[in-house]
Amino acid sequence: MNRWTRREFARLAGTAGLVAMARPTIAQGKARVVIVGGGPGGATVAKYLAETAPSLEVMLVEANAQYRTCFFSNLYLAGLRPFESLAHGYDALRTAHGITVIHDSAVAVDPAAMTVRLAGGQTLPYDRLVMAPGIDFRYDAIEGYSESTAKLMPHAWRGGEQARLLRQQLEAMPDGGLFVLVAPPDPFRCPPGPYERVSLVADYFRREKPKAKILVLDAKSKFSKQELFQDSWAQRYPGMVEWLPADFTGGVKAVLPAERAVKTADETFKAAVANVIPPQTAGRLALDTGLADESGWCPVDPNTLESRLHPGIHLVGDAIIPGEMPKSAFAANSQAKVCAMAVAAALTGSRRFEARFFNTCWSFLAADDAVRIGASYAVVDGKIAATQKFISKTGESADTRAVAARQAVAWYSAITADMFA
Amino acid sequence: MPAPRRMTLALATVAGLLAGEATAADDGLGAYLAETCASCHQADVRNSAIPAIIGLDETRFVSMIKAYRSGERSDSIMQAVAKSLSEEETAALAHFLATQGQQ
Repeated sequence: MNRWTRREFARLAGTAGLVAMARPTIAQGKARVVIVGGGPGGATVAKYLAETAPSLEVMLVEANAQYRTCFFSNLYLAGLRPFESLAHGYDALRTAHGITVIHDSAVAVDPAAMTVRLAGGQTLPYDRLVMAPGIDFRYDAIEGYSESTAKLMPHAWRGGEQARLLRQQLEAMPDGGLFVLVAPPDPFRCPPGPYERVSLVADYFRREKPKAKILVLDAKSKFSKQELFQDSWAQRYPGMVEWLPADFTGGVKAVLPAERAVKTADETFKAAVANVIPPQTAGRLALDTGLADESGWCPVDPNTLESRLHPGIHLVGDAIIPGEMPKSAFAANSQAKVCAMAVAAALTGSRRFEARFFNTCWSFLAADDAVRIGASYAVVDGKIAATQKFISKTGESADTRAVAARQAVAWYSAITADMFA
Repeated sequence: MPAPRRMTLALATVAGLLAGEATAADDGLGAYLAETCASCHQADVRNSAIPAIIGLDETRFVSMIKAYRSGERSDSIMQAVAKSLSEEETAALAHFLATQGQQ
């Protein structure tokens, strides 16, 4: 039994007030929370609700039998971590935490009727809905790029099959080939992720394909941990990595999948492997439900993670407009805990403390070299704002970096246990 | 919204007996703050690069947080954590972590 999950009595005491406080609309008098999406955000909400508010019925709807993390998949791409080590099942949520896990796709939400319709035909009524839909891709943004093109030019910006495709292409690539990574505009999932990928693919090339080159065509003119990454590329992989911002190239305009070519305003780059990470939006179901604003992302009350557009529906993770937080698995996990507290408070009258959030993004520069960025957050003037920030520095000792790399591995074990165990 | 105060206290006493731990300071704040710790610190691991903290002695935990806050201890992540905790929150968290270890 994970002792983290034994909750304090005060919050249990609050949930015992259910009889008096809640409006049990579902059979048997148990108020029901439906959570759509079993990634880092959704799984954490489900687990923490089940632990802190045992009087609630908690249902988790997730299409896949296993969640394959996007975080740490760059290590897999570089041959430094097995594919299966990134997979997490739902058995513990079901058996140890009493959550009803339904493996099906949610296809429609009716906020007025308070129901979720599943692809399998079932309709689930809810007292509160939590959506953790993650990201979707804007396939209209780059000419020639579509969902089917993603098989030839993988984005690998979700774990699982896309990551495997990119790994296969990198392994099949001849020495001396050009790897082109198209980096997306802000905001997007995992801000340091594309650049960690460059570092780890470079590490793989240095070992296996020393004549290969890497070209980054970026939609941005600056990026997360830029100084740290560029310093490391120059020192560890001299001459291998070139980064071209959009204000230099004019931006990526089109792709030619059959030729694995990427076109900017003035030039065409012929790649051996092209990793095209398109611009992003909130997950499709959030858009279809009318939870996103004109930005394509979902505005929420940061104290409760409740939608500003549809009360009664909460959102966590990459899909939301998170103030100063990045879109990361850690951020989703952190938001999920505040969300679970708010949902329990709304349905059972349990106590709600001031919202606090935390995030750390570790990035590997090589197998034994990692850097960190992060912050603690609170709600300031109605927005999530960083209150204490930290970032690694250039010129740190190899020992400091090796410690950070070992911490990152320990963090992966801890946070995936916090979500799925 | 909080439950009416009298009911909360009455139920707290019952639940506190069940949990085997009840003090006036225990209002769930420590448990809530500890949720953030769980994102990095595993409950039962040995030799991890991120140490287990459940069961840490209360006084020792408070002095560690103070040392991170003052810069005497150097990890920048833990410094950010420490600086975001008030004295009262540090005490609640220390108490929660110590008592979890006894269960």
